[in-house]
Amino acid sequence: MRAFLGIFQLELKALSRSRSLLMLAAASAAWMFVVPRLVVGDGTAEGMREVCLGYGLGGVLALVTVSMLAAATGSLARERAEKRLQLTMVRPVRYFAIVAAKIAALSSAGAAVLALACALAPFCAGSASNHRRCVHVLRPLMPSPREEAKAMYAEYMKSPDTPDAVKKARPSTVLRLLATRAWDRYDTVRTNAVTAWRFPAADVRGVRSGEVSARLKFSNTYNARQDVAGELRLGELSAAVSNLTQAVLVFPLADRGGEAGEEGVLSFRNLGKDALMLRPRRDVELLIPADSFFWNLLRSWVEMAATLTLVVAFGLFLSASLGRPVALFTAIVFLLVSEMSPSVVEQYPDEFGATLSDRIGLMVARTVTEVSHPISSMNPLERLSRDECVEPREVARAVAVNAFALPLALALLAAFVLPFKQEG
Amino acid sequence: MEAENVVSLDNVSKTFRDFWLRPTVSAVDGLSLAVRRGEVFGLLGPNGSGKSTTIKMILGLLSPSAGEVKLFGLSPRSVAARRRLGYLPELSFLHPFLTAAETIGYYAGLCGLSRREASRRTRELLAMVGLESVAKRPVGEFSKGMARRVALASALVGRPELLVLDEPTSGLDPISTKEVKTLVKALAQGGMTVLTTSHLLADAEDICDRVMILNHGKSVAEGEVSSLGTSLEEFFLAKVGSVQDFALAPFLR
Amino acid sequence: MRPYVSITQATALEVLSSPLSLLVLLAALAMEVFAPVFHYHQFGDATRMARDAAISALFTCGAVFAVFGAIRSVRREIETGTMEMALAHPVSRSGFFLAKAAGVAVAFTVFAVAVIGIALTMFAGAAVGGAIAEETAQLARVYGPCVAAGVAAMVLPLVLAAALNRFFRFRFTLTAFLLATAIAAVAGVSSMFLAGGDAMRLVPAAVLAVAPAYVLAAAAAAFAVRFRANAAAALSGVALVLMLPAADNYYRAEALARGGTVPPAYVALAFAAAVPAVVGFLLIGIHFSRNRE
Repeated sequence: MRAFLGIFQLELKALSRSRSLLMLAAASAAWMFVVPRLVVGDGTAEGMREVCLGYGLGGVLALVTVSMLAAATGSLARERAEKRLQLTMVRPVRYFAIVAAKIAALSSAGAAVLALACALAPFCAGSASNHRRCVHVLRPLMPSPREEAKAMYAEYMKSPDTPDAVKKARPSTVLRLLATRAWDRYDTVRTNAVTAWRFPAADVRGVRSGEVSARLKFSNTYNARQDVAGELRLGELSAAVSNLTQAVLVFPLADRGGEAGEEGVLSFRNLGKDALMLRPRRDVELLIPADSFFWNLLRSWVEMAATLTLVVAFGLFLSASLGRPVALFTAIVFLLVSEMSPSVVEQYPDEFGATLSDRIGLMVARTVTEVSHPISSMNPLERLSRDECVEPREVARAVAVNAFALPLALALLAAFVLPFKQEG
Repeated sequence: MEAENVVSLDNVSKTFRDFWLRPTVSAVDGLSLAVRRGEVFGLLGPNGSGKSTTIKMILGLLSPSAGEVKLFGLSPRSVAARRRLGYLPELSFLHPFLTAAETIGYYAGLCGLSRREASRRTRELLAMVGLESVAKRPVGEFSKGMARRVALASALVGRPELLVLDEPTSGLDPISTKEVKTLVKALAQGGMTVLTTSHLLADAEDICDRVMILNHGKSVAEGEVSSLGTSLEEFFLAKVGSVQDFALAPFLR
Repeated sequence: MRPYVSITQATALEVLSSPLSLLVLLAALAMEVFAPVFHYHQFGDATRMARDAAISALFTCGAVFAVFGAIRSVRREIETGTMEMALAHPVSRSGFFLAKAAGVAVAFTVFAVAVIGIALTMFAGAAVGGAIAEETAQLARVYGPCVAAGVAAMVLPLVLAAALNRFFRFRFTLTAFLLATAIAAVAGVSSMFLAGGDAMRLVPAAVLAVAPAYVLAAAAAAFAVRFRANAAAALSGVALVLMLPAADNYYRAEALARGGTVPPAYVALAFAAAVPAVVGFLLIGIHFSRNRE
């Protein structure tokens, strides 16, 4: 433990005495104040809040990630080139402890700078908006798209409407296609018909009138603008629906008397002239009040710090195996490709009829997306700026996976590689 | 019962290979040596004879291509073996941003000393090497001799049983050289085993009990310094070869 | 003059021999080759994708190559003491610095030749593929042999360099870089005959896109004399940000749309406008060199 602490302190001293940490902190603080003046919002307090949290904190996160990645990729590589690493390796310290201590130091430093930016965020965003509460976003209880795909598979493959190319494809490919369709599947609500979605009763129980809202996005067959009229009911709470399709609509649910509905079930009666469509997995949400902006900001910080730890661990692993410039270049290319890959996969979900080159490209994009999922799936700032709760269980998963499990594995790999690289 | 041999190499070879695994350099070839507890053992030889490679294998920084290296009867890469080891490299690779006291304290931490013990030991060693007055100055500002003294103190901080010195007097002025030699002799008299390499045969003659001379990766001679019957330099030249004259004539016209 | 030519030559070889330089080149070539080939993000317009990818690759990868090549080369000389050894010979400090900067510029020019060569190949391939698509009423694709040439320019040099290293002990990275440049140059010249005047339109736009990289190389070399690598890179980044308002004048991809071209006179003028910036940074570098202790 003493050795671990010694290396931890040494790494922090290296950052602070080279003034890198100070400059990073200063640049981050300056960015938080400069960004509301640089980025033009929509003139509303809401818009300013989004600019501060999205661009401000987002910019700091990007800066801190790149800086800590550069420090991580340089750490072991530079010590090895300057022969200082061998002086540590001949001491009674496990190689794993050397790597783990450096991961801990660099991620702590990065987390501290992020904490500074988060502490400045309320001032940037405006004090009035900081008293708002965030909301839990609940989605209807349904089988996952994958489960739905498996349930449909047999029938789909037997259907005469299914193209031959699909019938000849591998089951995994067909299941992937069906899962994507399940995710985007529309339910149709005819005039005067009722549709209902079940939500977790425990989460919904006890909500008071005016606190809970339903967020919906209606559509129709031709994605055209059309009037929406109807009634929403959740237990004893209800709301009248009157607006247009193709827009995200929020309806606060209040106690207006009348018949009570089933607990945990949100129902919608279509009182308009035309049928309406919604995707239950994407367009139907219940918003339940959670805690304050402060706690939400804290959870966002924890999630960002956890992801930063993973990035630092990756950089140190590369540093153990490669020279510094090559390690940094490799890390940055990987991060860039992992940012781009999800959108490539999303834009081309249907690979049937694609040429060989496209299928190869999709396969590569899909592989990179899977591998980089722990990093690319973390997006707390978007939810923070929309006042959506960064869920504690999500934070716990981020900490367990991104801050412990994966960095541990990378540290073990780096420790394994270290003596081989020392041989030259 | 503790092993009599602190370091033992048994028919050790080290061949460096390129990316295609073709052998490029055979740095050490079939070397066997044993360093006994309490002695000062000198590993001598011309440049490229395999001294540094041998030292690195003993320290666990390189693995042998063939043969076995034991340090206190254990693998050199084991933490237990490294706990009893101190190393002074040829060049003082220190963290320039740390002060002298912090440098010694850092290595004390790596040796597992508690904070209090590390602090006490740091003060002790700074006094021993005569750097108390500059304890708080960054080592990046030190002269070569001062940096070497910090490195020596760092090597001794864990009270090692074996001290490995790679060219300890290289680049030092005569006074510093004498100080280092005096220190090594004192440490040996106190029971520490010392393994040293050197080009400077006079220095090796002063401090070593036994020497081994390497040439082209092989041992060409080994024995007690006191039983040589001639100066170490003459013995060395006899074993390794004669001095070659540079063909200066064309340049002097 | 002879000593400075030696320094320039040595610097150029050093930059071209760096693994990072080879990686940046391969990244640039990959961007050029794969962007117009994968259908799902070119929206059926392979020609535009080939053009945009080529000029983006030159601009971004060129900047990275120039900055890191300059910083690494200059800092290595200072930190290992080889600069001191050079200055112990009849070589002036200013001359030494200018020769280093010239060496980086030469290395970057080799890089630019490779990237422009593949740019011409892919652009020509997209034009020919588009013509075939019009005749066959199929989806526009990049002409197969051009894609093959692009992939060959990435893969063949690595294989050949490995073989030459294995059997003749050639330096792998330098050999791979030069082979990639040679293959790209041959492919580029051949593609000009394939697509005729159409591919030639890309040349002035591509040449224009390299001008900012020369400015950045001069800036990075100057900062590297005075500051450590990280600080020099950060300052070069600041220089890049300050240049961005003028960068529009050097990124003329849209001028090539609908059969357009960038006039050579414009290219000459733009380069002339970049000269003061290059000279300014070189003078800063000379000042730092003279005052360096």
